[in-house]
Amino acid sequence: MKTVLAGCGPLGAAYAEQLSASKAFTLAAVYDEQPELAEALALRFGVPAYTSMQEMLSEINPQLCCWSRPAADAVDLLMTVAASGADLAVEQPLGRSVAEADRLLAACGESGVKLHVRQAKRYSPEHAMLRQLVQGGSVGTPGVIHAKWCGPLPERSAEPGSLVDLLIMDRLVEELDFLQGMLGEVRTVYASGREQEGGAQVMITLRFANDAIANVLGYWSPDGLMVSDYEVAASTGILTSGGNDRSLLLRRQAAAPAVGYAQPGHAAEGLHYQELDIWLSLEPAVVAERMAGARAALELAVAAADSVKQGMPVQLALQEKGRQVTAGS
Amino acid sequence: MKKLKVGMMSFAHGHAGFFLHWLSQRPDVEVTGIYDELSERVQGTVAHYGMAYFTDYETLLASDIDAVVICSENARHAEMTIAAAKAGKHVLCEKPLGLSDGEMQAMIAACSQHGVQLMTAFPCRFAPAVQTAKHRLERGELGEILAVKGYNRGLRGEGWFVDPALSGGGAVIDHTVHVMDLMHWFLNAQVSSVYAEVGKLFVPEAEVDDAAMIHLTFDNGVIGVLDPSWSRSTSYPTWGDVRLEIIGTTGVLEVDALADKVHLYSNDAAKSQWVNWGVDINQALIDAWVDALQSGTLVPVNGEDGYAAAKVALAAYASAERQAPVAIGGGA
Repeated sequence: MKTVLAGCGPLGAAYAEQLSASKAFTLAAVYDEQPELAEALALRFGVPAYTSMQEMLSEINPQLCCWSRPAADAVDLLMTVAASGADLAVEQPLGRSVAEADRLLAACGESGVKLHVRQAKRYSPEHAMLRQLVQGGSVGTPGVIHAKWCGPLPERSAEPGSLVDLLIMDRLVEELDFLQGMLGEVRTVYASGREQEGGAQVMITLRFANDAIANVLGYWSPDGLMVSDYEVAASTGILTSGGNDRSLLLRRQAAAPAVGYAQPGHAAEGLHYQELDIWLSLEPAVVAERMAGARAALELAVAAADSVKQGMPVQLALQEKGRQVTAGS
Repeated sequence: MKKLKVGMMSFAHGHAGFFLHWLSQRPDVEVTGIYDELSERVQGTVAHYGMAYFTDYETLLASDIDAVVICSENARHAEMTIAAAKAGKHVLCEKPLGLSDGEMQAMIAACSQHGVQLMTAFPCRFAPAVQTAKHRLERGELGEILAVKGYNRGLRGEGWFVDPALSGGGAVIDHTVHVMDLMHWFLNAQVSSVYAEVGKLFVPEAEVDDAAMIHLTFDNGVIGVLDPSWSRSTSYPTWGDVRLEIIGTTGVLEVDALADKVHLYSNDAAKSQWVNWGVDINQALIDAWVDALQSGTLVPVNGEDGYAAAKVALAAYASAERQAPVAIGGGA
């Protein structure tokens, strides 16, 4: 499958690595608006570099475009790609608003192209195992759940006044997506957050339709360290993943990496083994299901961002049959 | 040195046994007697320590004791504290200090009026990791503190802990206060607003809550979340946890007050267990209390601290009922 890669940052490089190693895909070109990034990756994989998406589409005529960044960063551009007839593979979130995501979904539906949404957390092997154990009843009925993500503030994003929204929409959306995939529909979202120059902290509490309570703590790490951990306390047991076991752990800006943690570079930040081969070969029904999940996660992220601004809980309408979204709907 | 004479008022709360043990280890303390309305609850203890047993606390309070330790059901803390204060006895009261603003204010006022000291039993203050954290925060090692997340989860309460008439509630009233007190102490700030989701998630048919997530806004702008749930399964290696993650402008501090442990895997128990090798925080609490009373200095954790922590739990219940944030007043 003739594939182009858009976005040549660290995650884009991981994409390129897997695409070039895959038998199912042929990496045909790379795109980035920053020429030096595009050229460096192009040189490494022996493919042409583009700084114009339109030019790449018309010259390469790809069957698949991997956008290794949040779809929300370039919804209009992605709609152009869909109109060219290429399938899309994107990172969450699908838009900065649900309406924006729906425009992209509709565009893909009209062009008859697949929109693969990565959902890095929900389908990483570690988290898939957590979900399997929870849903298989290994610890009984879930009661109180904690998720944490902290990591470095992306260099490209330091716009004042937007760091809370960025944290929720671009990072914690993955946690919300994972939790919703594991625990079902959410009825209430309450979130608090604050922001300073170069930093933001967010705490989101979800009340699920099944009554379970989850809290997500997220922040841009002052020390840049990436940490992700979970705990599910349920009626007959407890599941944990990640976490620190020290009585006191001080993580400081510009200090050596903290002692006591596994190395940063969690699977969810990069790509796990053969992820693209598996992800991009899913049946259409599964692709649609993942799209619906990503749209629902975006709804949660938007609700959380609204709750931070309003200081009030946001009640969500429950859909007994589950959220049904298909391309073009 | 003159011995401090102490009376024990009720063994309803299991911590009474720990406190009595550590009091009995002090050469400058004499525990003279125990009051408990249930003689069978304290029979063994009375025999072991060879001390007097009282069926009413008035008689104990009329004796020549200097101070009392109150470990009754939550609903009786106020009545007993006020009676002890009126009798001129210093009080160490188990947490939560009380079940309403009115009764906690009356407890504090009675002690003040009668010139006795009221200490709230918050042993977590004395955990080495907590003490070190306090020093490092005071040195400004995190820069400005921005956000804090706390956990004080535990095994499910039993007996009177799940009888709302005696306990005043479930996990929220039982487990909010320890870490709430640490947050107040670390931040030098009070909570101004509370939002809580509260539920009966582990035993839905119970009369009291067992799960909650409490959002906090402090009067200095810090935001926080606290989980007081009775969410530890019987298979968990210990009774619960006391943890905080404190996020500042220049760093992050993770505190686990119970992490000084070895892991025990024994065929005698069908689970792994954590065995503490660190400081016994109940001993540290008792030592701090006795030292303050013996030296005539102020107790390190007072009634105001207990009140400030407990009123956050009360606000959490109010918030859950209203499904909206609840503002709470300034200091106690």
